[in-house]
Amino acid sequence: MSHSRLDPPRGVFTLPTPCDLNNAFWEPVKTNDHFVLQRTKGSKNAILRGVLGTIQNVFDTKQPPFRLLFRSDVNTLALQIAVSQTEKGIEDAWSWATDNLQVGLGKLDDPTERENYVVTKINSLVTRQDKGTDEVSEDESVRSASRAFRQTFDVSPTERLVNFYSCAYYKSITNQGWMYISENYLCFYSFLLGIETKLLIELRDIRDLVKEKSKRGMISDSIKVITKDGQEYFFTNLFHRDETYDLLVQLTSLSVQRLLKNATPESTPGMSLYENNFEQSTDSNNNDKNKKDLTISISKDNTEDDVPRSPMLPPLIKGLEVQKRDSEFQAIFALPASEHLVEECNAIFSMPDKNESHSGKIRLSETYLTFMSNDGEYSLVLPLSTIRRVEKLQSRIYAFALSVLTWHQMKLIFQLGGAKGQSEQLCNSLKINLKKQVRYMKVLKSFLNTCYSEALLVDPNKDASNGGLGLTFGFPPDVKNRDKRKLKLWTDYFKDNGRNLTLIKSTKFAKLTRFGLPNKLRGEIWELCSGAMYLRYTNNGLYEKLHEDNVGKVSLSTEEIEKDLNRSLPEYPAYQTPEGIDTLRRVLTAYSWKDPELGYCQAMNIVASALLIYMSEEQTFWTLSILCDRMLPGYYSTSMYGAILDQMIFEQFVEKTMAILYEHFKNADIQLSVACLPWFLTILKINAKELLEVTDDGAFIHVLKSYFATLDQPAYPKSRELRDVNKFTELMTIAYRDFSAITDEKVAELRKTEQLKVVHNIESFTKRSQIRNLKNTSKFTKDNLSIIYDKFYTAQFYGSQKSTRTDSRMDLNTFYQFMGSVASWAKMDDGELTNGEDVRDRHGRRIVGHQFIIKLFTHFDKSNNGGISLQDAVVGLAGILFTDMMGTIELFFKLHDVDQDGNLSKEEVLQMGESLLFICREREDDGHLGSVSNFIRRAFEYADVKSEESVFNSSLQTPAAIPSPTSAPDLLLSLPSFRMVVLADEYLEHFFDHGFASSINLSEPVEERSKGLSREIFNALFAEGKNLAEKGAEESEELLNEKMDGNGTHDSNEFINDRARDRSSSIGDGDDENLLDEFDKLLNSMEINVLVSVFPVADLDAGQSSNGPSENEHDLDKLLAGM
Amino acid sequence: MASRKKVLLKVIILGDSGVGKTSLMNQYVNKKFTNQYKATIGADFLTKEVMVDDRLVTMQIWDTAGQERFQSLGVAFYRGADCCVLVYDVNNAKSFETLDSWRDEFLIQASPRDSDNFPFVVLGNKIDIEESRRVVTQKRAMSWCQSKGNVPYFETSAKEAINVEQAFQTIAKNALQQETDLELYSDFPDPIKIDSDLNRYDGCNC
Ligand SMILES: Nc1nc2c(ncn2[C@@H]2O[C@H](COP(=O)(O)OP(=O)(O)OP(=O)(O)O)[C@@H](O)[C@H]2O)c(=O)[nH]1
Ligand SMILES: [Mg+2]
Repeated sequence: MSHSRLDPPRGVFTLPTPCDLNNAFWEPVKTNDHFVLQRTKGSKNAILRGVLGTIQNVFDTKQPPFRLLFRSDVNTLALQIAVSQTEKGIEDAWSWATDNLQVGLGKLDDPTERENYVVTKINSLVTRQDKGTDEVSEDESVRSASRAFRQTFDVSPTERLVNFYSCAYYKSITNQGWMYISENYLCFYSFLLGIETKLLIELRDIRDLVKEKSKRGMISDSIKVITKDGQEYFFTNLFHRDETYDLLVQLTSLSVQRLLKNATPESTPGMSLYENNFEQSTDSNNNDKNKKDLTISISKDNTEDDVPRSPMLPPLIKGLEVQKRDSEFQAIFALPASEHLVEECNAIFSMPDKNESHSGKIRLSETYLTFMSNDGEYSLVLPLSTIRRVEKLQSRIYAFALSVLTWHQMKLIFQLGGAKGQSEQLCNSLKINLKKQVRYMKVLKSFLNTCYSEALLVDPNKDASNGGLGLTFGFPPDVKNRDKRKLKLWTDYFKDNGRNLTLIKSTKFAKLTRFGLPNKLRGEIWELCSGAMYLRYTNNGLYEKLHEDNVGKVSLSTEEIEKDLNRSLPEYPAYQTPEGIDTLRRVLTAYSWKDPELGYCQAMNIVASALLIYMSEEQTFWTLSILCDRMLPGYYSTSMYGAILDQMIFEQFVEKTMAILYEHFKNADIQLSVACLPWFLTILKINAKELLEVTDDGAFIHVLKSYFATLDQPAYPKSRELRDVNKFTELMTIAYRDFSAITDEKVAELRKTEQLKVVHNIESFTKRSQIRNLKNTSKFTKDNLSIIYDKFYTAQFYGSQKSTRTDSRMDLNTFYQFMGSVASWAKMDDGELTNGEDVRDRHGRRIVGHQFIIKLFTHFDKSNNGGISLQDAVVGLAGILFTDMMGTIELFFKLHDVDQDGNLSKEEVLQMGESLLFICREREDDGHLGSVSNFIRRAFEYADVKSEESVFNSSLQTPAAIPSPTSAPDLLLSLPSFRMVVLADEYLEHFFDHGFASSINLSEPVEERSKGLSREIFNALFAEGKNLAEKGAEESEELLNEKMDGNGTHDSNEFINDRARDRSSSIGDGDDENLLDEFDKLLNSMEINVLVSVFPVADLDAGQSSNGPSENEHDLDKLLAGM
Repeated sequence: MASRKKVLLKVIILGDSGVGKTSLMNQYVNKKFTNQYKATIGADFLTKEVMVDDRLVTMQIWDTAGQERFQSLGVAFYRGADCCVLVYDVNNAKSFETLDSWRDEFLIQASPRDSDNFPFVVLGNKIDIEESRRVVTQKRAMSWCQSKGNVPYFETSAKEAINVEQAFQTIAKNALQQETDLELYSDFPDPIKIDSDLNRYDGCNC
């Protein structure tokens, strides 16, 4: 046999990187014509190695001690093609390279061609192996850091490194080293004077991130990380401290979002109770809310969505930057989450008939053109579909200007101030995007008909055709009755500044708003300012469709809504009529269908009932969406984390701005959170005097309640000139005057860091209540359940990045992870599970029989909807753990009786064999092979007898076992026969009696993330396994050759050998696989009869006895103990 | 009793949404029933002064939101409760079945000193509704109460004011018992005088 049949060793090859051949740090181990194997000088000498390591460590990513170079003759440089921590690893690379490349190289004369040959080969190798990881990043430094990161820490192969920083980890002494930040981890590595320091923190465990000053001195270059178990980690000497901090905040908040998603109770309250398909009829573009932000999207040119991604990925950090920029952009202009910032350019804005101009920025997204002045006081958002004409004008100052004519006949001039290329690019993108607006242009006219501002400008006395209940049932009275005057002011404003979709917001707009909105326009202005108008415009018809698609459906949410309809705003006349109630019902149910995970939360009824007075149903629906998704994210979710979060932030603001009050609350142990939901800072301030006298929660609320009850009364009854000022006006004034520093952005920023603390509290609450709500928990203890819960959600957490499910059920891939965490035989490398067909273990060996897990998945999935809930998992595991031998046998039978005909067919028996091999594959010796092969032989034997005479069946009576005429020649093994076959073998008997059940491990997971010593052991094991594998491969190859010589006999012994070889050898290049396929085909087409008769029973028995059943048993115990 | 201080009793009402917690509290405090109450958001409270065993005590009655998700919202005010009232609707089986988890969660969050003997009272509400709609029998409810350490049980109607007064008398009594027990452990801070005129305020529409 030759090595060329082996897969190239994984994890050692690097993209070819030029380097110095003769470097003072390296010494050659061996060389040939083309390759050099080197090791770091003194890798044998501990002290020297320590020093060198330190130097390397400080100046660069730590270089592994071994490397393989290709000697390029083109220049003096060599190409590094592989690196490794171990001699073994580099030797493998050497062997592979010499075996596979040497011949090709020998045929090439031209040195440049030779170099190209090697580069291409290695490149394709690395790209193939590391698909989706940063080893193929465009960025050279990211590439090597990523490799170092992966070699140092035991993380999933698909884990992407985001960035790395030189920094020091302070723990009694300062360790200078590297901080690696990946999607899910914060890692630190240093290697100093022979001492290795390794640290791996899961981002989801981080509870707090604090910017700090360095321990000594005043330099602000440190970050403190606190995890949920209270551990503190201090990182210092960070040159880009703020950048590092921002990155960590961004990444942790992504992981928190995922945690929260997982921490929601299992039921999806808004989901129809009588239907199990999860497909949502509303998968249109606005429903990406749940998906959005949960994964890191790679920046992409939005014009070429469907161009396949090149294997070279942009560094992940860029993707994160883009994501951040986009969400800022969306927030400033209240745009939907589907909008991305495409172009951006400095510009001066003016209108021909107005004598003012504003300098600021013009921005372009897929569907909108926006402008905002530098001081933020002048802004506009223009849906591209409302643009009638664009012209390029010559500009006096700049390259050129754009003249834009809007639907409402306003001419807007933008002098583009960017570099020439930038301006051109903006124009081009604008042109491209304008062409895509046809579908919106089609609905523009009818949309405008639903805006009252349109009617108002035509005829101020005309009533709105589309508006709230207030039009019929009256608006709450305005004491001063300034509605007419307000309406006039707004009409004037609209004339000059456009309206609805084309409205320009100036300082005057802000003043008018504060002065008060006229009742008839209130809905429209709310809708516009919140951004709900854009959603309604671009999702034309969706509201009606939601109703059509869900007509007559009932869910937990619809029941809750029903209960609250009359408890919303009962004092308003509309809600004393069936029409009014029906309007409210329609809005709330539509929302529960749109976002079934949130469903319905009490309080939404009150908000919606108030909105409906001023807005149409559809307007209310979209405004409610904005409120739930964007303005109060998480407030109404099933965990209400948003509300909890804001309570915390509120407390922080109180502490910062009103320290005395805060102290007082703290001393009296008053929880601000009890009441802060509806009240804000100003109110506390105004009432500070009274509040300082308060000493318990109840009295605290009392002060606030009495304040609210008197809001409309004069604030300064004794003062003459301030007589008109009522408490509400006072409130507004103080709010704007004293707390102007507290902006939305500031709140948003704080939400990001504070949520880390919140999420862990929520998690523990959800955990308790979910565990309490579990049914049929069998003999599981509370601790057991707690562990199952943790493992379930840990798998969900790391799986949800890839999962396609929107509910909290597990998909198949995640189930693989979950099972891997409860049973060692199910543990596999997750990077390879993409197609479910070809699964390989860490060493690149193909794993046979893993389909067993798919069978379990289907079995666990009681409700048959393609997903496993926590409840399913608990019941499923109980079915394995708390059953007797007969139960386990039956379970295995059922799992493999795919067609559920009560019999195992030939194929099903073979699959059973594979499953058993799979579960036992971690065994060190091959004892179980005999038993499994025995099993198959016996199964075939008994089945054979049965299909002819049914001897066993008649005595053991299984009615289902009657073979159908068509499958007569096929093998059919009934459950009783299966039982008998199994019990005939002691090994299998033990396996079914307790072996399988005890392979399920419900103890706390061992911390195995940082590769330390264990890695050494692991490597040694690997080396040993490899030797074995090679031997096994040799043997089976001989067998195979015999077969191929053409005598055409096959037996189950070979089947075993074949599988065994699969399992233990590092095969996998194309030829070999073909051969295997061939072999499989042969095996499948062979006649059972032939097989049974030719089967060398004696041989097998001999082999069996040499292994000895008692020995087997012994080994089995050993094996199981190790699980 | 050493001191004759005026006592503040803290009572928490729990139970599924719609079982009638708000209505019961208002019936007791304000002696009226209307169907104009809003669904409770978060929590709210009313106070009432009552005579229990010749002592004037102030009852601070906390009404909570019944929807499940509100439970995660921090239930800080559970702390220091003197009695917990569990309410279900006799015409709704689920509202009865969830009593267990209301009770558990209360004990976890409030963590009273002696959770085995903490006073609970169970109310089966809406008995005014026609008998044929009733799904939870008195017997079933009583046996549950028995199993939780002889919890007092009342069948009430907030609408018809049946048994409401009696139930709250028992609640006050048991709460006071708990309170005096507590006094043995710690000095209770001076109670606050609360003006009960403002009690009728029922939320703002902001
Ligand atoms: N027939 C009848 N109806 C009642 C009774 N008590 C309450 N209701 C009605 O039941 C509905 C719910 O009552 P609430 O008091 O608001 O319920 P709650 O328990 O406070 O509900 P949440 O605030 O959502 O937790 C209202 O429509 C009440 O009018 C009763 O004793 N008899
Ligand atoms: Mg209520």
